[in-house]
Amino acid sequence: MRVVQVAAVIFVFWLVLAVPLAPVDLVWGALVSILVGFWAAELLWADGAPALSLRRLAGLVIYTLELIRSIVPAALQVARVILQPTMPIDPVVIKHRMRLNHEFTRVALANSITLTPGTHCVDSENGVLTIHCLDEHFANPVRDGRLEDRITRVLQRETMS
Amino acid sequence: MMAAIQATLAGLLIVAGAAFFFIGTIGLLRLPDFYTRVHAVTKCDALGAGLVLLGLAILAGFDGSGIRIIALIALVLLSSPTAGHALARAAWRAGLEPWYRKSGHVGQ
Amino acid sequence: MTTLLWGTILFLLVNAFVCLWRALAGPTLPDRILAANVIGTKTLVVLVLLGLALDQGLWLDVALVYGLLSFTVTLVFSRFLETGRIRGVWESK
Repeated sequence: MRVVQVAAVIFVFWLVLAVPLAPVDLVWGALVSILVGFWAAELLWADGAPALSLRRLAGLVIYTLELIRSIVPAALQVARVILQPTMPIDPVVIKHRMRLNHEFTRVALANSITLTPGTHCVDSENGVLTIHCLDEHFANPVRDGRLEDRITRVLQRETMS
Repeated sequence: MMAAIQATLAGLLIVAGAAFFFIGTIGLLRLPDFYTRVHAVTKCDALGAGLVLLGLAILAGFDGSGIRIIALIALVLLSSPTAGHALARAAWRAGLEPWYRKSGHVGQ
Repeated sequence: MTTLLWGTILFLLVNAFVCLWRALAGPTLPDRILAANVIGTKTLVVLVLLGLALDQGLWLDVALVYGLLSFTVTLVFSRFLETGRIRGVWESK
């Protein structure tokens, strides 16, 4: 079963690469995907593939769009810091204990933190994130749990199972 | 008319992306230590590459090349923060100390 | 439009060379890896730009493989930095 799932993912990637599609491409792609699937199933998703539901997929899409949108202000903020001659930064390293208890949502939180202005995840251990902040006040959305609330709203209700 | 709009939009996106690349380069040179440089690089590079490639995708049109370029955008947006995390964690666990404005200032 | 493409290629190449200074100067190993990663991203974009400027669709596939490889290289270097090894389980020293 896992082989089929991995093969499906590889096949989709093949489709992207082969785009002006000829029927021959489809046949070869399917064959190669299944072969590679046998080999890669051991490496990819060692603990079983994540179960896909439509709601979870929708949550993932919304989260991805929000993430992409959040890169823009983050990059602008960094740009403002870099381009000022005095470079107004006073870095601090903070620790944050996560309320999220699911591996997947924790990864999402770390990504969100890195792509919001002035914060970058450095380490994650036993549910505690180590975060490097360019300035103390950038840590506020993390400290007051705003980011975690947002991820809970979008992702958690589907992934809690 | 349509082609003109397409070209203008693509041109603007490419120039904006190149500007973010430039800011990332300046950050890489100017910022005081590794951790602050990771900040600049993960954000500016992801956005810079994303914008330039989006402009090129518009230029190429949404056929074979366009789809390939969009796959590249997804790759860059996925890999840039992931590489930043892996590298920052490796440096942190290898014991690299961050730079602080006041020496001896340790965040809680 | 081709002028813009070539101009961007030139601009990004100059940027990449400037980043090379950070890779040479360091001062720490993570700095050098980071600089290599940045140059990798720029090269990827340059490959796509060249592909469109020269009208060679094949270059996009080269860029895709290059991007995957450059990402893997950064991960492998990070792992080496953290564990002192390249193979095996990713465990801290």
